Amino acid sequence: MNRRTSSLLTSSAAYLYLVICCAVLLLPFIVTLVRSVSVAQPDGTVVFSLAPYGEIYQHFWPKVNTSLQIALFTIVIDTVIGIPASYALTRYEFRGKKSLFALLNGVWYVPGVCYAMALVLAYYFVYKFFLGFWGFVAAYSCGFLFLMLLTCMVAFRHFDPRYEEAALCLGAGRLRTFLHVTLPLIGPGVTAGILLTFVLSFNEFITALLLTGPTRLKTAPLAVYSDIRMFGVRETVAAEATVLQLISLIVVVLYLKFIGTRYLRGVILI
Amino acid sequence: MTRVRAVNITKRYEAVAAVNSINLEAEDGTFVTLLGPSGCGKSTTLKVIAGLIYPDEGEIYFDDRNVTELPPDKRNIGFVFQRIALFPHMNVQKNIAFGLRMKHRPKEEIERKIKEVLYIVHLEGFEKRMPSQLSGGQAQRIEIARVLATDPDILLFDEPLSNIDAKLRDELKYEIRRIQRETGKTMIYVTHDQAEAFAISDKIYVMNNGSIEQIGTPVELYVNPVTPFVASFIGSNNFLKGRILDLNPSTKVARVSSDGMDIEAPYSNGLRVNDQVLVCIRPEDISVIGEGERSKYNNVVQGKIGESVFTGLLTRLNVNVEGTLLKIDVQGSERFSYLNVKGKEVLLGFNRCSLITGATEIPA
Repeated sequence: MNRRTSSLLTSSAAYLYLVICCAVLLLPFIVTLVRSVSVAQPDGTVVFSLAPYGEIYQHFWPKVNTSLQIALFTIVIDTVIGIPASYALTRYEFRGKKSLFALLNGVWYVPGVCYAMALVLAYYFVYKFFLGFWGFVAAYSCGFLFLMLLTCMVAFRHFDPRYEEAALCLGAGRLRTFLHVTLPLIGPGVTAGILLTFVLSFNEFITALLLTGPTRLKTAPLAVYSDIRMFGVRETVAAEATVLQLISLIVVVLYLKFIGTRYLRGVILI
Repeated sequence: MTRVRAVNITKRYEAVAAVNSINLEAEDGTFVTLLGPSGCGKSTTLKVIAGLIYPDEGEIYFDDRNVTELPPDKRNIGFVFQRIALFPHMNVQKNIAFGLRMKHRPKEEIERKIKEVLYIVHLEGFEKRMPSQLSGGQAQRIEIARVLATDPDILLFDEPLSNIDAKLRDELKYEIRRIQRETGKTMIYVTHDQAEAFAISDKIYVMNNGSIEQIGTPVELYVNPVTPFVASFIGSNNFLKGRILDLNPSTKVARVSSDGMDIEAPYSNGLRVNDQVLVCIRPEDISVIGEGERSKYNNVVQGKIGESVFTGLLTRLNVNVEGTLLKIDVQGSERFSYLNVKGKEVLLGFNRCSLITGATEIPA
């Protein structure tokens, strides 16, 4: 076997590996998609039809709307809290900083159900006035704040303070320095945080499942879940699942296309 | 046009004083340089003057105004950083306009100023370039232009040329000096490069370990270093431990005994017979002489050549004189005659040397 054939074989093997990986990752999505457009006729034949998407419009879209709104408010709150907090965490030294970082990283490893359990207890016994829509927003803002902190901190670490010093020396006060220089330069880090917060809070399920009792609110993922339990894996349920996946997919693709991935890598501290 | 005074500035980081009770003065329209090795506190001093670092003790005055409590944006200064600090998300034009916009200047004035400062730094037509499209030298010149545009009272430079390649560095340092002469602004410049400091400064503060070692013009520092550090940091020097044998108050010449050599050196008042001193002789001040030239030199010693190194501009000889190694730089066409001379006996003559008192240890 000469070198050309062997290199051809190597690259084909690598390509095949890639295809298998993609297939494994995409298969569930493809299956759901196919199921959502396969409608069984009364005579037993299965035909392609977009009718399930029409059918879910009435009762599913309001849920999607709720989820989108929750995600939006979560993003706003986490951005407003996260940017100044991560700035302070990156720039200033204080006792216990290392422990705080460890704690922030530790949030990754807290099982969602434990977090949700804690929230449910808190909502039932403490924040009774806080039920409904804002209860969800508050829960998600707390739960996903660390994501915003981590991405913003990575951005601030890449951000050289000399730009701020230069702006100060050019006569810009602290606020204008932040608005004109710091914010534009850490922008990609902030948007990475926004993206992660969106994807996670829009699709969050475990906390929502436990919170739906006290808050009496049903988000889109919950609607899919309860429809599966009620109707089984029907084409309308598959259509709902497909819609949810598509929304996340479109947001991520748009983000990667227009803003880039620079700040998504290495979102781990220490 | 502003006079800058720093009075008793101290800045500590934890227990270590980065800057220790420093006094500094830059007269109206002069070019003052802080020269010292890295970590000596010169950048910290500059940032204290800029207001970027708040001192633990001491005060900063611009003319007679105490500005110690003012933040940098209220001091009307220009600061040029060691690493290019042009805002990467703005083009040249917007970078230069930034300071003017912060001062709410009218649009016409901003446009006129941009043209003016680009002309000063010889980069007309670069308005639309992004910082990433500029070479290191261009970026540093734009940075100077950006600083000039705001018409600061004082310009501060924190090793602005240390990241630029040697040839351009040479060009830019004269350009900074030219801009200083043309604008008549007070400038304070920080560098670790002695040649750079000498080429552009009116007055140099030599710093070491957070303190000022000596203040003077380049010539004063070169001819009369007063501490071992200055003598070894500026240029190179031969150091000999010695003891004063006698002093001649009328000619101001001291006779010093050092390792069996008798050396005549000029001195200033305050020396007494038997004082311990360090004799500093610059390698370029020592000549290899012939027997007949003895009378031309105050000091003549005999030695044996050890290693010799040809560096292009000069040949450096290491000559063993009574057990002491002296460095000697041979310049001019003579330098080619000392390429293979190991073991040769030579006569050395020198007139100029200086004495450092109060120190007996030879600096490393």
